[in-house]
Amino acid sequence: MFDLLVQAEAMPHRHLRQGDIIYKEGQQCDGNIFIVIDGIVTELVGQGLNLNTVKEFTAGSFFGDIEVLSGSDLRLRTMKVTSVSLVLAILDQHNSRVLGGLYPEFFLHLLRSSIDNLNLAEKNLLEYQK
Amino acid sequence: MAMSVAHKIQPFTANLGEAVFREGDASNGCMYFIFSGEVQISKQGLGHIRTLSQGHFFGEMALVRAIQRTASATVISAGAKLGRIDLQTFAWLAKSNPAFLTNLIAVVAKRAARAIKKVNEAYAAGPGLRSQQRAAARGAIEGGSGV
Repeated sequence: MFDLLVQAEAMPHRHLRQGDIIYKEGQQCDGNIFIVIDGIVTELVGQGLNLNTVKEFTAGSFFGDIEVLSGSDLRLRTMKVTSVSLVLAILDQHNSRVLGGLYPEFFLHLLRSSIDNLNLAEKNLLEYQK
Repeated sequence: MAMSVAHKIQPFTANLGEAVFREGDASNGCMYFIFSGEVQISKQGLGHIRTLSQGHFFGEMALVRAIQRTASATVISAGAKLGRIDLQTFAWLAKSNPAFLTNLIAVVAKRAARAIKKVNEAYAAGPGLRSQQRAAARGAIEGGSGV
């Protein structure tokens, strides 16, 4: 049985505090996918003071995958630490392919995430049609 | 491998104007491949969003997420030859052929990235300008080969 949190234990970790920005929209994409080990990360749309929450990521979830999988040069959203502290595991592009090769379930996780991101974005776009 | 995959895809012919599925339909647990002909994808509120042809696929969202169809798929050429796979075959393909899954992920992720960029642009424009973004938003979900 594939368990992303178990796999994440072997990856490099990063410790952050409330208010820290993991990356900003428009920032160069470093090719990493981030797995939340402990804490909460909030995805934000907008710039400066005009920021709005899109969704939250808790332990066991991951983000940064859309930019990596789509080949985007830039990060598409701003990610901010909203819990008191945060522990992230960092999965680089090479190791994400290795992990998927060993555990096809990981690729299924990525596919589900892409579908959910697409669904959410299309819903937002439809709102602008109204 | 190729013969095994071909054996597991259920081929069928669809007529001009035939709906493979409609937006809001409950999922039948299948996704589709196009061997020949063209299929138009449309969505309420956005109208026609893309035309798919040979080599493209659609319907994977409802299969993977077990959700209702998020768009309609209509055949727009005479005698289109399509293939259908169910969840069991999808799972078999995913395990036996990782390239199938990575290609699928790349297509869906690119579509998601395009849509997210358009949402960001519309958000940045603010409420007063969002109406001007509507046409651009429509274009955000064009392209790609999946549904």
